Amino acid sequence: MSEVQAVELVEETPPGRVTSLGENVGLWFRGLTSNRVLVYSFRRVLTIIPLFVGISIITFALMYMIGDPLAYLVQQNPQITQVDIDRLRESLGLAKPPVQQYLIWLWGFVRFDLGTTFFSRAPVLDEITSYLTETLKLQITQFLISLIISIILGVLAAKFQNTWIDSGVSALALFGLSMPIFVFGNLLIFIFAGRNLDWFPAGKAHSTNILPIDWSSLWNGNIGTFFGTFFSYMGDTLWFMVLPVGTLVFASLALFTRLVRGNMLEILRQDYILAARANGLSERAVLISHGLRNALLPVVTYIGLFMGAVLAGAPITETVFSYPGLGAKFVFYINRLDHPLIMGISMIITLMILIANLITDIAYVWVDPRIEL
Amino acid sequence: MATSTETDPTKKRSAADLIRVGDEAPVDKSPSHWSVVWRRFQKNKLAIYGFFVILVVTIVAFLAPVISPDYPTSLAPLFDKYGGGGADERPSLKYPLGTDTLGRDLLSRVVWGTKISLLVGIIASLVSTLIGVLLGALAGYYRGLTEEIIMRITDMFLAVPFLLIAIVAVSFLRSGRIEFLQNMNHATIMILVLGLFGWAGLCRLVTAEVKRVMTLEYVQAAVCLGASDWRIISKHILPNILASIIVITTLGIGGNILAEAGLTYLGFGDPQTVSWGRIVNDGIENLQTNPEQVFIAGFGIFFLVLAFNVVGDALRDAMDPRLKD
Repeated sequence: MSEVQAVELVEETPPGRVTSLGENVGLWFRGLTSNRVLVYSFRRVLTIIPLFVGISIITFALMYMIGDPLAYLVQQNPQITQVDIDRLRESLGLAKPPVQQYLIWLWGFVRFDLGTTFFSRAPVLDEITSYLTETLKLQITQFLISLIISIILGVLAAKFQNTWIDSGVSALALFGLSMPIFVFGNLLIFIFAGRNLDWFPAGKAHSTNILPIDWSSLWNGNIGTFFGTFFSYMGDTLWFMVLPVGTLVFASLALFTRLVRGNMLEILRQDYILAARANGLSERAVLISHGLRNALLPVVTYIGLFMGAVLAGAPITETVFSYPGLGAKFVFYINRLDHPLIMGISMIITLMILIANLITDIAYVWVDPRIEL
Repeated sequence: MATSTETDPTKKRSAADLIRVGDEAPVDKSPSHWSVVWRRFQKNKLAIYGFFVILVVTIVAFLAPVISPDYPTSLAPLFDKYGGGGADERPSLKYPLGTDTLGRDLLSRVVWGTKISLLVGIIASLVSTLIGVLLGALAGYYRGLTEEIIMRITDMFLAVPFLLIAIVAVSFLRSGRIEFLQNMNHATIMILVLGLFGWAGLCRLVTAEVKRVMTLEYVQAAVCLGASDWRIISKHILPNILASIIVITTLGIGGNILAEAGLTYLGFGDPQTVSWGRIVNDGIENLQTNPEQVFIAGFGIFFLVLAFNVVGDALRDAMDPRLKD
């Protein structure tokens, strides 16, 4: 083929020509796969599945080998006969081999069916939802409070590096890191609840005589009733949350403050901060809009790590304050070997940690294009 | 010598001096790396305090049978009404910290409890360091499939909700359902659980560090000289990342002491074994009336962990000043 013909051939194909479906899909797919964040996210989502299955196998195996869940029931009722035990074992699904039990559990989890608890015979999902609401209430509040406090403390410590402010903030962070969470919680109970000051309740999440929020009055026209119950309920909830949230904030302040301080010190050494100062910007503008904005990026991506630390620490705090959250219930039911509930709680928390890690990693890649995948 | 001529410009230089300039080995050996580290460490007053606390607690743990007034599980003080004994007694001269609910001497219990806290903290940390360094070095050195497999296992252990799995694992080990795992004492169980679930972070760090060191020229030179894999890893790579390993191990001790105390506080320890977490757990019923039963052991944990954290931070600053801040 001569050169002239080749040029003509190329020119003959118009820009808006009809293309085949396969070609379109190919183009679309190429566009999709060239989007690095999307590809990375897809790959990361796929890695979650084996991680989740692996952790659930370990948890199930360890839990299964702790003991026989029926031993506790039998102990409660000395008159129980062998026939009853066998029937119970059959009806609870414990008669099957362990591998089959695990697969049944996994298949149920995929369909959002976590089974029913051994003790109350209620759906596990309903039980977990109520515990999870209480836990998240605590954790989100403490997260926001400790984030705000640690940003302020971290920026102050970086600004006044090597002064008494810096030493004080570092000491506070070190104390928070070294204090056993149950000792601090009990210290708060000892000082602020019970005999001494009696400002706050020592445990539980609600008063026994508090009325739930009357949502129906909102569309019945009784706005007054609605706001009355709403504010008394919210006030009651907040009143019970003060001590546990205080404990959690003290514990998690350390991690964030150190992080903000470290990042801030690194940023303040950069050339563009010098440039901003040389341009005559006010110290506040340099610190807040040039320093903090850049220092916070890595901090935000630490939320995943933080989430794991927080959820893992929940059982102790919730037990200290007998707070009806996921962690305290987990500790309670592990002694009664309620298999569906134990698996449900630990796997829901695992899933939350995995998803938080996933969001962290994706946010990191999305925010910083220099990250090599 | 060159230096003497520089410091004393008025001195007349001989021809021999001019010839010798600069090509002599210095008479004094330069200080070794570890003596520099030790000197930097000594400058940190807080770290010396932390070191002192750890030393005192260690001595107390070793001398527990000698210095504790009573055996920690002895019920003798309960029946010693005239000597200031009894259940839930306030501190007196004979029983300096009072007695607990069952009438056991609290001072003896606190003294004996140091042993478990220290033992579990240090050995569990060493176990996880051993696993983490071994797997990390393998992954970083051999790369490829080895690294892929080890990193996926590491990911799994990092995503595990630590305390929940630890609770399940401790319950399982304490139930003694498997023949060869029976008859394990409290300390062994805790060391196993904390050691086996705590190595993932270190493993990831070691892998990254090994990969970094592998690109340096002297490692390439060792490879070219035909050194064996084991020699390259142990003689050329590991000494260069020792600083990070030591720092992380020291900081891990504090975390392990906290984890052991937390698990015991939640009631997953052995009721017969005396540890600080156990003492707090025993005293929690009397928080309002006898706060000393909770807070003496509780703040003992706090100060010990604080000491380990302070020493860890100081070691980090002393070994690698670049890591500071």
